[in-house]
Amino acid sequence: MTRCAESIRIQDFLDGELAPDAALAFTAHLAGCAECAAEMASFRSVIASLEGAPLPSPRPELTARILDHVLPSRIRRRRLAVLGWGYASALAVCAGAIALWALQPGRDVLLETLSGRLSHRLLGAGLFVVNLLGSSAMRLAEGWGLVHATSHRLAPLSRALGTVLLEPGIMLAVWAAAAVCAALLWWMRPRELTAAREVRHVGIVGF
Amino acid sequence: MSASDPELVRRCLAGDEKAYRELVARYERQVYSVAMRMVRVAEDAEDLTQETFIRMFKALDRYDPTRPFPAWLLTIAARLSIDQLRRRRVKTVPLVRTEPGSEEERTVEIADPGFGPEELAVRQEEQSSAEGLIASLPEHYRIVVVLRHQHGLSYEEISEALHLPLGTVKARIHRARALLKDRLEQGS
Repeated sequence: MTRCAESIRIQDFLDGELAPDAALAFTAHLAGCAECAAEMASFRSVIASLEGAPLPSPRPELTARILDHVLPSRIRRRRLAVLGWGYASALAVCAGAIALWALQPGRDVLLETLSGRLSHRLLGAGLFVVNLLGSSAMRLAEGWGLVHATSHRLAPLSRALGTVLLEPGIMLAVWAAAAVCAALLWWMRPRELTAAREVRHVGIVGF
Repeated sequence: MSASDPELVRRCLAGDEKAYRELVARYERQVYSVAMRMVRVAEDAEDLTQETFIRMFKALDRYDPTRPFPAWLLTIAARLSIDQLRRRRVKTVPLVRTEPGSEEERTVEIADPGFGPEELAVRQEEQSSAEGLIASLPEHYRIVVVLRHQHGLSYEEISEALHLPLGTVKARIHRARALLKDRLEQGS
């Protein structure tokens, strides 16, 4: 039995993929072609079955399982737990290794050799540190002498600056400048929580 | 009134865990459904659902709010399901074996146990139900039919989700429906 040549348009018609003219022509064809009408009814039935099929439901525990893997707070908690267990395991392995080593025969000789080498190295390191500190102290003393000489030379200047600053008008101007700076900083303070990070460093620069 | 998908996405990106919960509750069943229809083993479908949400939340900052969110999410689910099926196929036992020390290939004979009368009745009943019909389709037809008729994705969205040309998607859906029509007619 040969099929109606127009039947290839049925699915496009059902999907609304035919151009308006072609759709009108096909509707007219359907009215006179029982074969295409029956086939279209079958396709409609297939589509209705597919769209009516209920979605399978997962077990209720799945939600909690998913949330455990996606919620940022739980991910952090799990990472901390992994880190904690990692440290605990490493500690246990180290303790086990030490205990195993302590039970080995001839450990005293090995221990004495090791402690001898260690004390020798410690002594060397201690001497190096003492030398370093002594040398640094001497350099600092020299540096302090330099600072003292410089301040002695600059003393007239500082005395003059002190005298100037004690003048009521100048002192008032300095205090006013300080007040303006403080007001500026107050104005530049973070106002919105979201902008806090952006504004904070500006305040520091202002200060 | 429940929040829109883009609003929930925005809140998730701001770290609001309530929005995470709401997105999972809203789409868990749809994602599971796609996975279950494809892999047909509940445990595997649950693993895939979990993996889909993990990947979705990781990629959330790349989501384009002008696109429908379910289509984007189901794209991830569909691709993961297809990957899972591919991995399964790799694990299958070859039917041709070579004996050690010989170059001659030998075909492995596998006895067909067939179905008993009860199994056959259950299978026939399954085949006539909508779920059974979907399950009876080959994988490459099943995924397009599920996305189109169970989740309402357009041809364009399916084409984008599965990296297939639009014509291929359309042809597969047409062939799948024709197959199902024949099976329904045979059943009745």
